[in-house]
Amino acid sequence: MVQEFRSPETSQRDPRRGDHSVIQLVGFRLDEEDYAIAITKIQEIILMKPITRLPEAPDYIEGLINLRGSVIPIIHLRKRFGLAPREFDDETRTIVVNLHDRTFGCIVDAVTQVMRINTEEIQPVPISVRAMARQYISGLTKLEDRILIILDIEKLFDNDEIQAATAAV
Amino acid sequence: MSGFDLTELLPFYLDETEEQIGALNDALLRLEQQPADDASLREAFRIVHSIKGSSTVMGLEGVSKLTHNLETFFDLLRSGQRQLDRPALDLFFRCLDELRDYHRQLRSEGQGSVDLSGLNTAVIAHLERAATAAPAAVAQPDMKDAVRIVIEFSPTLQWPDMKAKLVLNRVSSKLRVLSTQPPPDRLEDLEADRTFTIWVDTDLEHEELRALADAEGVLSVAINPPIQEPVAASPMVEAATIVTPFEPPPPTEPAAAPEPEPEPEPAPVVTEPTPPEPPRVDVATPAVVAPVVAAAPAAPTPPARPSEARKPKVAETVRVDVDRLDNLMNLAGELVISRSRFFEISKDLEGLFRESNAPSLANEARDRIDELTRGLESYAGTDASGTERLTAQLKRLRENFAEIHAELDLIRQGRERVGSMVEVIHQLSRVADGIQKGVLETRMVPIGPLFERFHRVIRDLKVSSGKEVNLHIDGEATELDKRMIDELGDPLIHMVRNSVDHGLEGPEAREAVGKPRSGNVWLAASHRGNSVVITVRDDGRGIDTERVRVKAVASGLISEEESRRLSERQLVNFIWHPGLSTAEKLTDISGRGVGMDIVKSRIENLNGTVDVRTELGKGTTFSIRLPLTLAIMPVLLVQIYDEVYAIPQDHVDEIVEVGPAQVYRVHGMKTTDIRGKIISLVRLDDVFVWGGKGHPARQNGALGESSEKHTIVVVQNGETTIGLAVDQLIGMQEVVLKSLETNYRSVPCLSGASVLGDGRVALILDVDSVIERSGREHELSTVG
Repeated sequence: MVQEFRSPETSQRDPRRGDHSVIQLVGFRLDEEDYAIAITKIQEIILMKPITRLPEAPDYIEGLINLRGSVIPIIHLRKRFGLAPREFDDETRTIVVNLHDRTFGCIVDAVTQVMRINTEEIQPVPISVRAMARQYISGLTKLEDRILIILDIEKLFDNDEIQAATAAV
Repeated sequence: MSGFDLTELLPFYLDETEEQIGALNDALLRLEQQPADDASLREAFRIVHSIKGSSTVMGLEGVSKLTHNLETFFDLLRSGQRQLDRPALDLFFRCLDELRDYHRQLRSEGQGSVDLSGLNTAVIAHLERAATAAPAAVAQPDMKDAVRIVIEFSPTLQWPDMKAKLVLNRVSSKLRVLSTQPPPDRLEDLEADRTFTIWVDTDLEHEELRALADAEGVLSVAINPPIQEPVAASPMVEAATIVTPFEPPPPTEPAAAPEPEPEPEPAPVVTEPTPPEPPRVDVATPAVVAPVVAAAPAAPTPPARPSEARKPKVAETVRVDVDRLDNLMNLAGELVISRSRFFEISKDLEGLFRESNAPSLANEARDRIDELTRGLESYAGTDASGTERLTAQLKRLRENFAEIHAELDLIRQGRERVGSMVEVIHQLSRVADGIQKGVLETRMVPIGPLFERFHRVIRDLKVSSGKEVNLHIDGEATELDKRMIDELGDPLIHMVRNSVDHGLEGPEAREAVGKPRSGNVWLAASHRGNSVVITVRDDGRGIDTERVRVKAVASGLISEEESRRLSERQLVNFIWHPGLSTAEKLTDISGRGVGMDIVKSRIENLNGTVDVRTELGKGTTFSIRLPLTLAIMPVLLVQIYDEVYAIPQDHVDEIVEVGPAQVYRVHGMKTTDIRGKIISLVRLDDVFVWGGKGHPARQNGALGESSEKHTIVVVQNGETTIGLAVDQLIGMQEVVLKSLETNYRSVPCLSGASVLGDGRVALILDVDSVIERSGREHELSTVG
């Protein structure tokens, strides 16, 4: 079941029900589609900050920002998914993600809500979705009258710039 | 338990022992030069004794056993009952290495699993052997023929007494056993001390004896030549084992057929001078032998202990975890950033207030109102009610104005406060600078101890290569960031090893070309501006660039034609190429270079550069240039489009304005002429590839095509000078270097990023790579 998330103290599992199969997700919008990432991977959600362009990087690396003294790379998720870029507006947010001791930001069109999803309601990805995309989509679920795409952020950046850190000279 | 936790003491023990091992190393090196140096001997004894003491407290049995035996050894040396010979020195150095490894492991893994027992046995064996050898050297031809077999059982062997009995049975079935230690009825003592000694009367070859005594669970079998009652040995044996005094075995036995000694194996070592250090044993021998013959166990101890007095005064210190310093360093860096933000904000505020002349405007307005009021009063007669209303309005206006004026006074006060705030900020920034500098200084340590290690490295290299080498050290007092010193050890060892192995010729080869027999290696450090330069120089054969060229062509790094166009310097730089330098056989061709690419990348990881100069037949010099500290660097901030780049000041030569007429094309490459010197010009953004294209914000034409003047930052890397065209200069500043690898990866031509006063991220240029790239990629200029 989908419900608005209200108490930030509650952890991923609901201790009262002892239900192990509920996960918490942060929903966001990209090009009119609804996506979500597991809340455990997310450090924070911030407003847009000035971005310094980074050379020698794939075009979906938007650049670097200063996050309280740390320099972190920013990934433009639209570009990462091959969608047309869009001007940043009041809704645009950066989701700061922690993965394997590295911190980076993902630019999304808007952050929608924090939600709880029962894992039983997550469906596998239909075969018609591109094989490459199927790797980083961990499942789909119905969100009222819309489809929610749950991303496996770890797989998304698995063979990626962020992870291939030291390989490049 | 008294609640006394030993593990808490471990770091202190490790720090202390590490220092002591270093000091012991120094003492041994001195002894190697001057074996009769009493002070060094006493120092070595003192150190070993102290390590023994602390390791016993820590319950590190292996260490305490080994140091105990070493202590005995040094005691004998000190009292003159023994002399220091080459095998003993080698043994000491081995002990030192193992102790160092052991403690290193103890530090990193919480336990030392290096097995010291083998070495311990070797020390005991050496002690015994040499103790008996000294008299042998005095030559007593009538000596009887008891042969001592010393068997060391593995510490993991169960029931060593059974095993000993087995061995003893086997030996006694073939030979006449004179005595054993422990005696046959006390074999269970072997449980605690695993050394079993058998005295036999035999003329069998040592190999046969060894085979006879060997069995499963036996670590080592040492065969000693015949001895007489080892007077000098008794304190040592006591030290080495838990042994009770035993019946003096062989001497009481009637001499069997006095044969020539079976094998001169270990005996002569004492008097035989080894080639590299010829004089010392000769000098020492007569003096030392005497007391041994006199069998005086209580040799006169030196009257005074001048070594204590000679010890340099130790500065009072506090040991601090480097991670804490790192943390402090980062905080100091943040403080400096905050300071510059404060600075900017206060400047803005000052500007704001300076432009405001509100108070004088307000005064003027009030005067006008007064005048109006007075004017109206003079009209009072004509239209009383109208003017009255107006006057009332004006009065209210005047009152309003008085209030505004009061508010304005607040602004004035605020302005004064801003003034004093600016003063405080200035003071704050002085303190911030001081803190930063202070934290930096706490991390700075002299390079001396690192260099000192090379005496040992050279010593080992001398032994392994058979070359004669003198090491010269200069600039030990030069200070460097601790982290940097830690990281430098391996690359330096690599380079020194290369210099000796491949750079220096053997003594004969040197003589043949008219050089002194012994080669020289110089290690030097010095400050140069904001950098430290460390050089490793040798006077060997130099690098044969022709062979490097042939090899580079052969391995497909470059075409034959291209290679012919390269200068010597460019050719030499191929030694850094992984393809060239790692291949083992390359060593023969380039004359050096196993893993030089690794050396280079290590140095570059420290934001340093390494450079090589060589002259065929004369020698080779490697220069490492490092920033003083890893964390903070003075830079020139420049702007290109919207982005701010930081160029390390060390690399900036000058800043010039170049008009379009001064931009020349040379073979498609933009150049200009700086006081007669032609240098390449590159637009800063063209150094990089931006998603396969030029910079996204680029619109207007290339260099020299617009009519405007260009601002050129002239940068150099000590070799090459190029000009970087930028849009705007911002100024000089110190920035805190942040690695891009922490959250991303390394980016070519960038050494990191930094956060500026306004909170934005600036990219720090790696000038060396920029220059290298601009030289390599000719197409760079065509983009611009």
